[in-house]
Amino acid sequence: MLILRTLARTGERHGFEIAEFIQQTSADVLQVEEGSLYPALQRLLAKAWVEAEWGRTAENRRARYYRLTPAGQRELQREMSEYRRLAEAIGLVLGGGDA
Amino acid sequence: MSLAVLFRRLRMLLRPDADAAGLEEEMRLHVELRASRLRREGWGEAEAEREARRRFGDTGRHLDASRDAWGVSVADAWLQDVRYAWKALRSARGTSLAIILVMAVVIGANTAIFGVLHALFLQRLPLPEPQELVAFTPMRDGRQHTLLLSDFEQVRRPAGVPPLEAYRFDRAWLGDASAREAVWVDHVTPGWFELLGARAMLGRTLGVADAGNKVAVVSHRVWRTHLQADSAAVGQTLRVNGEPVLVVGVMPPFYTGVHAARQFSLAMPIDVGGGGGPPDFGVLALHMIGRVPPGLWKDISAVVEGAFLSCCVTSRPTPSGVVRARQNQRDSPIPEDAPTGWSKIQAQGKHPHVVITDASRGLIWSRDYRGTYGVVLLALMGGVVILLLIAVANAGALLLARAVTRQREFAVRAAMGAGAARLARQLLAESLLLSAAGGVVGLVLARLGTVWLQGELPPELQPLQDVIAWKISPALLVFTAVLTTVGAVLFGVWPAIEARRADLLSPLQGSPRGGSGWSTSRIHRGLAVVQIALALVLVFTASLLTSTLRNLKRIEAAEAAHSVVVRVDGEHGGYADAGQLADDVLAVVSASSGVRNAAAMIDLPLVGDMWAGVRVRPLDVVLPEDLAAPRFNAVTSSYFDVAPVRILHGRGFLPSDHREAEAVAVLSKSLALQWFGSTLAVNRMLRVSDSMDVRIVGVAADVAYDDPRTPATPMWAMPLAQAPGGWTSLVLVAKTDDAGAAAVQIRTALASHGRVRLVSVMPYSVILNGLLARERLAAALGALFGGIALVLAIAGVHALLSHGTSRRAHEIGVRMAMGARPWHTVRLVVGQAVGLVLIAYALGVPAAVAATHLIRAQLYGLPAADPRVLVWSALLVGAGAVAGALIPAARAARVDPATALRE
Repeated sequence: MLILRTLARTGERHGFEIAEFIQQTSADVLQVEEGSLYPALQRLLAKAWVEAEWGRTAENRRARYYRLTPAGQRELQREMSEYRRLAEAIGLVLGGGDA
Repeated sequence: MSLAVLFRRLRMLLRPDADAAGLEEEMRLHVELRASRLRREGWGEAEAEREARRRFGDTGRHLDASRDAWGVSVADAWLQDVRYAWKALRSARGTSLAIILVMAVVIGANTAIFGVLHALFLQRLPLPEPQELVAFTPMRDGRQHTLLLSDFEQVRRPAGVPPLEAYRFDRAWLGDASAREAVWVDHVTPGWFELLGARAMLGRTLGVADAGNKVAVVSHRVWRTHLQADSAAVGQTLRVNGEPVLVVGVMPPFYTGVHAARQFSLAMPIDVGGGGGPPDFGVLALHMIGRVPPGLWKDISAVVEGAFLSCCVTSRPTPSGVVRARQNQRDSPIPEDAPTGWSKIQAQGKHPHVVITDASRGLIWSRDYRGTYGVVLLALMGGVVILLLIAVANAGALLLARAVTRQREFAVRAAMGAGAARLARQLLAESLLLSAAGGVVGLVLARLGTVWLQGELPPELQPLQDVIAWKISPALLVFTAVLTTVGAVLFGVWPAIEARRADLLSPLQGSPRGGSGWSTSRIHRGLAVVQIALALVLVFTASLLTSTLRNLKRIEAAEAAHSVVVRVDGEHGGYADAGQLADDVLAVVSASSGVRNAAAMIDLPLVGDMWAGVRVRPLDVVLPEDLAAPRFNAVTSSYFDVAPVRILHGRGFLPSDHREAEAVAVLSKSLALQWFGSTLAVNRMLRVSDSMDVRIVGVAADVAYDDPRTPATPMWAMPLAQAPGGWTSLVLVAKTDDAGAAAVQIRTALASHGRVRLVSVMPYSVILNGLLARERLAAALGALFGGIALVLAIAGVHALLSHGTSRRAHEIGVRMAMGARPWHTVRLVVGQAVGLVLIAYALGVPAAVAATHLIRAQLYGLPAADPRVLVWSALLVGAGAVAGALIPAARAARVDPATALRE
């Protein structure tokens, strides 16, 4: 979901950039094993929620750029609303205030 | 899913390495970027590198995960399974080879027998639309009506009768004097080949224009042997009965006319060679063939019957007098297997009618081999099915045992993510691979088996050799494939089920003990018990069949010891009667050295291939209408000594019973009882051929004439010199000391005899051996199956117990440490085997008795549940099972307690 959201917010990005974005935007709270990003990207590719294209970075290095597809956009919306519902429900159970 | 994604998936499947390079590059870039970012934040060169790598994680694993992300299709999973199965099987070479061998033997045997069964029963004639071919057989007075050519023309003429053709078969000499061969000739009506739809391989078939000409179409075999397979054979001439006949065509190898079991040699036009002569049964009778779609049989046969009734029934009286199997006016040899003249088609009452029968699988004129061999072969199929079950149990047990030892491997794989279903699938892949290998090897064995079976076929089925050529028919392949798959599923199922239920954690923690091991052991023991029980069934059956063969051979030995059988034809010798012919030939035969006694007759005991139906009835007794006519034999006076036949009352024949003396006869005991109710028949009178009065002078003991198993053939005999009918072909039996040498001498002596033509000379035992071919085949195959089953059962017990002792080594070690002696352990293991055997007896004995009950018709001289044979078989199987326990027992006794306890 996070990858999809990243691409939704930033447009076209390559793998490293996506990882950086997630890390920085989450204020370094979300630090996952960086390599596991790539299998995730492949899964999204397989489901046609993103598409990829080889291009060149600013430093003229060959990199693969990913962007969201319309189907991916719809999936993102779905996942986000699911997550919000879940978060709400957990919040209700935990109750307001301190324990 | 878009096309691009689909395309990508396919590419991933077929060329998994294609994208790997790109992914690697991507990941490398990531690590480099991270490293340079770290350096900018102040990390050192090397440390930045290391940290970047650390944060990235294991590249290889990510690569694998990336690839897996594309979803492994079913085909890819199966491919993986097969590859893994191949490796797993290769590592357990012994077990795998054992299972493959077992499956191959069983599949091979089954396929071979099925192939022969198919050729005998299921295979249709190799003609277009064979299912339409039918035979019309006119009947009257409960017997086949002799259809003559003139009759046939009238039967086929009325409107509504479908196109009919007819043929008759006869014997002829083919070839020049030096290389002469007695063959069957089909005399066919002009439209015969067209009706059948048979095409010639070279030249043409017979047609309307050939009527009356001396032309012939030859078989492939004759083309090879008499025409040297010359491609310009058409237009050459062959000598048939000494006369030149023009060859106009050669038939392909698979053409057999409409015969099921007789070799086809020649076909000639019907009226060439004097067809349609005086009324005589047997070879002169025409057989009608037509094409009728299966649904219209009843209607069409009614039409044909109408035609038959109107043309042929009213005028002609039923021929009386002597009925012989050949016509007495032509120069042709006596056939070795003279047809009785009756086909196997049954009349449906005494009124005139026409019977329509299916001719699509060929017609049978001689002994109904389909009846006799069919039962044997079906029983064999049953035996092979049992063998298959044993093999499956054996293979299943072996795989099961291996599955248990592979629990650690399964546990590791499960921990790495393989689901239970995946494991089961992989095990099934292994068993499919094994049985596929078994199937392939089995086909090879089936080929060998078929060749062997063909060799074992009795003489009367030899003509089928060409037909039962081993072809990989689609039916055969399907059969083999089904067997293979069934076997695979059956013996793959248990290990697969076990794998799903297996406790996967404890194997990782230590050596497998208890838990699932116990239930596995129960199944394993059950499998061993099943194998022993089934082996008992097969061994028992085999023993019964072998005993039957032995009993029958004893009869043969008694009757035929040191006898030589000579067949002669004296038609052109100018003999006044059969008596003179007999005297002449007997003189020559008796003069041969080593011949102690000889007799001449027209019908040979135990073989009984010449049915001579002389009309006879007792004068002072009225017989029931439906009493079957007795067999007749005309013999010389020495017959009663030579056969030998015991005279119970009165006397046999004497040289004084010659032509001018009073006509006399001897009855067999069963005929006397049938006619008069007692054996006191001497001096009663008989009326023979409606004209001759004959006095009964003796009653003789019963002799088996047709089948060694049925000794009580009602028959009667007259001296050859007095018997009605101009018999010109005789059979002589000579008692000698050395059958072989005497045969040679007799052959030389008669070959140069001017007035008598020698047809054959051979030891009586050779002929009788042929008769027992069916029993020999059954006994041989039974012994083979029983042997295989026993070996498999022993192997099964061995595998079970050795597996059990190796797994319970710990327990054995404890016992020994606590004071048990080695022989205690041996007793323990062997005791287990004995336990299995006892349970197997409980299951196997009733099964064996039930199974052999099915074949009781094949047995002779002993009941189906013969207790002595049963006990012997059970002991044999039991001993085998215990023998299988010996090696594991010995190994268990050698267990070192210290090592065992440490494990």
